[in-house]
Amino acid sequence: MVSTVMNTEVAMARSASPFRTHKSIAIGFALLACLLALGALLVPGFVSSQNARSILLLAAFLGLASVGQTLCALVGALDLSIPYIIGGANILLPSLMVAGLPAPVAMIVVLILGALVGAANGALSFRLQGQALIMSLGVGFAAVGAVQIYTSLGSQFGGTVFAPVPDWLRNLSAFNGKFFGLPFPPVIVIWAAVAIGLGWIMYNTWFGRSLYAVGGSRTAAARLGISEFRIWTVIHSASGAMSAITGMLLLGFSGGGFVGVGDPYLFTTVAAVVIGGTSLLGGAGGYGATVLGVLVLTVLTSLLVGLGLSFPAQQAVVGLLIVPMVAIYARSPHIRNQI
Amino acid sequence: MDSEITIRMVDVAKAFGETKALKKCDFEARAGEVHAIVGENGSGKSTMAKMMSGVLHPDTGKVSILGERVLSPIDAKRIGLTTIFQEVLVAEEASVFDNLYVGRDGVFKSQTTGGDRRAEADEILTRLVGKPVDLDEVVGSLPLSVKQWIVIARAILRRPRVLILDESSAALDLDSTIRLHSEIDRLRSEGATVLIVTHRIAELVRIADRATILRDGITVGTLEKHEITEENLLSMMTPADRRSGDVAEYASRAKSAAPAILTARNLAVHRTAGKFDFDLPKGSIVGVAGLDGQGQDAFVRALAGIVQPFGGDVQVRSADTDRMVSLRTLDDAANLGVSYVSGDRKREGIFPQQSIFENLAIGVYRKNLGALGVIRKATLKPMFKREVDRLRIKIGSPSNKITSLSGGNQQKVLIGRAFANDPQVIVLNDPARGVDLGTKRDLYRELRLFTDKGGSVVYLSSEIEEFIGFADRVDVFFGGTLFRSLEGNEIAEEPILASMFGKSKHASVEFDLERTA
Repeated sequence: MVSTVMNTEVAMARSASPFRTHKSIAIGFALLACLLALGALLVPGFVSSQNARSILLLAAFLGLASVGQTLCALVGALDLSIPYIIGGANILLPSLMVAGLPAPVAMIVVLILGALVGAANGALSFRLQGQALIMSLGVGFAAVGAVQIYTSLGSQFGGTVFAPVPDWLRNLSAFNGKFFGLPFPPVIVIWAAVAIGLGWIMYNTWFGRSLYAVGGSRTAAARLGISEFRIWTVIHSASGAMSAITGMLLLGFSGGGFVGVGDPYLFTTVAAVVIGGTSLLGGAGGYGATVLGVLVLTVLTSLLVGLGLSFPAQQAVVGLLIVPMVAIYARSPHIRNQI
Repeated sequence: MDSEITIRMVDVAKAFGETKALKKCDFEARAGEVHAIVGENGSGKSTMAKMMSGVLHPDTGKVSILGERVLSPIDAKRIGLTTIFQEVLVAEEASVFDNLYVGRDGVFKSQTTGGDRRAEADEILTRLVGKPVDLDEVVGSLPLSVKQWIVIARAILRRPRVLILDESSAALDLDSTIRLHSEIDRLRSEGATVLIVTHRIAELVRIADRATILRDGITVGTLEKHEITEENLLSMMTPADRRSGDVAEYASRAKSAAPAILTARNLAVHRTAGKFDFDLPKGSIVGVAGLDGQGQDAFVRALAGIVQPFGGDVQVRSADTDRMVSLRTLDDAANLGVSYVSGDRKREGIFPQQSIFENLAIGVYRKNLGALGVIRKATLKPMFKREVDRLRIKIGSPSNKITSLSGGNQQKVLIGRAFANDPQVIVLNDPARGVDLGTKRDLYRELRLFTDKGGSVVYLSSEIEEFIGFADRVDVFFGGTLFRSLEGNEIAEEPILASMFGKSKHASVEFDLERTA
């Protein structure tokens, strides 16, 4: 008697579970396919290697910037300092090079500073949970302000910094960059490697699993001796480092430092995470989902541009896309778990 | 006493899913009386109180207050019923005055003027607290006892016709209890009905005019003032079949002679309650019992390194050195082989979005790490299969989500997580809460096997019958400290229950008044 009840329960779970787990992925792929089909039908020249390259290039920047946002979302945090660290790195790197540091050294300095700012952000946000959002915003503001003070010291630079960008850095992320002679910029390959590596790390390492544990149930994770504070600090630090990398790669893309270059990433990193299906409440989702979200968002933007929509109209459409996405998956599993 | 009936419950039943909180409840209270509702943990007292206040609705039967049906807490307030809950519900950031009058005004109209209110508030708080309280002080900065008084004053200021006190005196000392009682007397003389839901037998013997006893969701009877004695109450709370202390099957394992694997000295788990010692003999099962909030929960958490005790030292015999080593943190507990299983699966057990495999194996991931923190999952698969077979966990695929399992099987997965660590001591905090009988039996069997192999168990339960025929010793907590240890034939319903209510076996009623001080 008991065993039959159990068996039906298990059977039901078996039929329900795969759909539930992969629902967001399925929706993401369907959305992507729809957008690509629409683009092919409506926009002349949408299906071309040129357009594919430009979509993947822009997606790579967004994808790298969204690494930290995904990790933060998995524990229920949001990192709003990302755009400011991107902007800060984008002007700090050229001004360090103008100051005479060799490019690789300057890049390492910027990377370390990004990671340190992120670590400070994580530690402070954790201590002041509830105010974590405004805290990450504040740390980002402070960081970018400090960088601008530095760049304006004894120079005419402020929010815009010009410096000769080395060719190899330019090649990494410029539209016509070459990857070992192949006709696409190496940053796309870098992004792909990061995505695969991170996916593996999240699934197979103690770090990855404890991240999901903290996101799924803080108290249960604490009982296992997982330090939530350490997790917050590490992922925010990673987020800061990835933001710094994105900012430096964007310098190679544009050729000149501009402090506002990170601004769009405030919204788009969060949007990519949400569209991908990672719950902002933590515990479910992953970087693979974010990759999908990044692609959907970038293809959509490309489609809207191709259709001739103005920037405000593009913003409106992308903004409206978020609403159904949140309704579909960000909430539902959690309500089910409550029952 | 033929006064007006103010509360009437007729044939009321209430179930939460599978759990029947109330099976058959008949109840009447009159105007101008103090009526106590007594029963063990989980006998349905709180459910009853919540139905009267309109928080819950009966599945069957009728509840009427002053002749009206109560459909919501707002209804209850309109009719003149006020409840003081066990939790101290105050707005920490508001002033004392605002806390007293919260919810009294409409958006635009107020009933009385500010000046009158201040005088009234000042008078009542002075009377209750025993000294004046600054009405403009922010509540968050006041001590807990004053907060408790604010909650009580708020209720009295509403001039209730029915007042329900749900364990409200739990946080008060004797002097305060006396002031509370005189307040209750005052309300009674004004013709109000005062219901007290309480664990404190001494308290209700002193002030209750009548007492209604609940057992397993059934109202088994109402005692008049002259019948309210400790013996009558205890015997009515205990079912007849369990009263004799049927321990014929119980085979004493005489393990208390074994050396202690875990000891606690001068332990204090409550800020003011007494210190105590505790020993866990190797290979034994020690039950931990107590009414809600008597310190037993903090005690088992302290043993597992989850909370720090207020004082004293917990030591565990290290398997490596055979020396006693202090246990203060979760890391110490892990190193010394002390595992903890919580009955509060939802909050501190499962990871709801993760698979069954992950939920069981996550406890041992850290012991199976390769280079760069990579988990050797392949080596964990045989362990997973072993635990699943041993605990008879009914699973489909290990990759299914944990939430696809029934509550009992989820609990088994968590117990498997504890076993997987190969512990010396397992501390279980009410693990059988809400699981079916079959799962309970599997659990007892596994724990017995564990102790037969030299493991030791601390088992907290809120259900007394769990200990009978299972525990080698039962330690009962009362008033924030270890009150009494029961062994052998004493591990029976009545002695355990009496100890939970703070009674030594042959103690008299008067004795308890001094104790509560």
